[in-house]
Amino acid sequence: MKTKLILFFCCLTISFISCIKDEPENIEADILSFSFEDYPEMKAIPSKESSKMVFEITDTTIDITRLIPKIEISTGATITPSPDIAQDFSDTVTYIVSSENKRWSRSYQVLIKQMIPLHFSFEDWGTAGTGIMKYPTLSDETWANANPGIALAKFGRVDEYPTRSTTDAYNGEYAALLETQRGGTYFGFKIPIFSGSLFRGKFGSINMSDFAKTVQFGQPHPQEKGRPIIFKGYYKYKVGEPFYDENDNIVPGRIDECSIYAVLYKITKGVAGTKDDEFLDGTNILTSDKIVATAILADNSAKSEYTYFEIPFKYKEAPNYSLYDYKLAVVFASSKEGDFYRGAIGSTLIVDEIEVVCQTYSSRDKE
Amino acid sequence: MTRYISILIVLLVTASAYGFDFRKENLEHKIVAGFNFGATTPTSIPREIRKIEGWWPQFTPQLGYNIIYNTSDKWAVGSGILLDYKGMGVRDRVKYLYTEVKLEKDGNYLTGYFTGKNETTVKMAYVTIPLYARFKINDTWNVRGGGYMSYAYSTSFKGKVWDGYMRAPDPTGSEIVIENKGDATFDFGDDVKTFDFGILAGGEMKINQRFNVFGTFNWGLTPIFHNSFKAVPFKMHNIYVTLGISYNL
Repeated sequence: MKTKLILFFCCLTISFISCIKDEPENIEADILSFSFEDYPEMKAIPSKESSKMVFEITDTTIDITRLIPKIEISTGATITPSPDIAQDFSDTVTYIVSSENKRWSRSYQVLIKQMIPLHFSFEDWGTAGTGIMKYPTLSDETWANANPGIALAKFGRVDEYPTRSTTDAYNGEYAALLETQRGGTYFGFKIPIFSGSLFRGKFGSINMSDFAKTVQFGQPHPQEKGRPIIFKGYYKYKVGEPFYDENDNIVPGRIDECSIYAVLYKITKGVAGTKDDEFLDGTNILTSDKIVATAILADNSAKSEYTYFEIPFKYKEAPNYSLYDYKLAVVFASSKEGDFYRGAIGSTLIVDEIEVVCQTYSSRDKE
Repeated sequence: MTRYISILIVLLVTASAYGFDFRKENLEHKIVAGFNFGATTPTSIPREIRKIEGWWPQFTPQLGYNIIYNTSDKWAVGSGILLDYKGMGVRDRVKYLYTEVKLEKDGNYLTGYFTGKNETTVKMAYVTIPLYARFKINDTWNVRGGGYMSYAYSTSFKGKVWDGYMRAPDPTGSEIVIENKGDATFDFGDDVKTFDFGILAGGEMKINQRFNVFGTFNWGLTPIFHNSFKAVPFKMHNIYVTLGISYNL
């Protein structure tokens, strides 16, 4: 009997073990990996906590509005919409993964941000002006400087212009050098200093009495160029002396500062390039109510070595291309108040490898 | 509960149907000593349990006193009082087992779905009162069937999970990897019910005038955890076989 009971017990145990049921259906609803077959640099393995995947790419040749992803999901789970369907990832695409047992689901958001760099290495320099008035300038005509004003003031008798190339480059052969120089009295106007300057924009018809109004900052920035998000690059700055004010008086102890900034501002729609074109100039580039976003370097002090800066654009309002057109200005000056003839002789700013990183507007924004 | 009591009453009535002419010489007194083998387990293995890798007994003796009244040559009714330990250890592999564990590193509790290895040790000390009818097959063999009521005065239900991960609080939540044995533990001893009612069936063989060997199958009908207890997603029952010796006083 005892052996029978033991046998019975053994049978019982075996019967328990033998009645292991079919494996339960999977309850997980995860995206295990998200990638694009043709673009291996875009691959994400989302964490279990996060449901957002944002890819930032600089390759503008990829048409992100029609991409077929490759998605790995939990065993047995299903996903909608089907990964086989091409999606417009310039706007957030939502995928919903449902677990095999249908009880659980997770929603994932995928977005590709295409970055369009506006990159400037300041490698190609040439001259502009005619005859003795020739002055150095960048070959890229979207950039301008105040050299033509100096050329005019000094009738071309200039050894070295305040804005010129230098071989002291961070990368490549050349960088842009901006040097504040001693001025004088020209056409009856006292101009104590000439600040080196370099800006995206135009040097307009010269107005000696109000030099600041001569500069026309900014180049058209159509929507296709994207939303400026980062202003970055490398610079060096040497503070000169003495510091002169606009009345040609030396200000003892005053330390000169450079200025480095980028401004996105709005203009009336359709006026760019016409006779009614609108600009911000030296008098209002940082104060106008047309300003939409700014990226301003806060530390304007001396830097003996190349220093990297990366400044996010601060937006006052969201760009609305259906109502306005926009211009993007990038401005460098060896003397911050050079527009108003205040600065220190010999202050030298060198800039190189400047970039404005823009993010594409989603295709929905464009509609 | 009424269901179990009804079963006992039916059994009693069945026994007494054979005539209850009380005589002292019809009484038997026995000391019983045995050992409980078995498991505190769901009656059918839930899907969440993928593989049972090991089982081992605990020190789970049964000691007590039985009194049996012979109502006829063949039939008798029996009862008694027993000190009744039930317990076991089991190691298994689970998938998506909903449970609550304590993370030993920081003392925090985590509730969710665990996939990995589990080790559970159960040990419960009951005072059990059986009630059964006995049928004598011949001079050597008898069989019995009935029910029992148990009161637990000490309950322990604890264990560890490891070599896996937990999704908390649900399968769409965080994934917490529980790698090493001892990283996460559970202890549900306080959630075990104090009472257990069950049915029993067994047999006994006479060795000599004094000694008998017996075996009894005990099936607990009440789930061991309170209904409000959610950290074990299935109903568990005490299913044990007692093997032992009885001594006629």
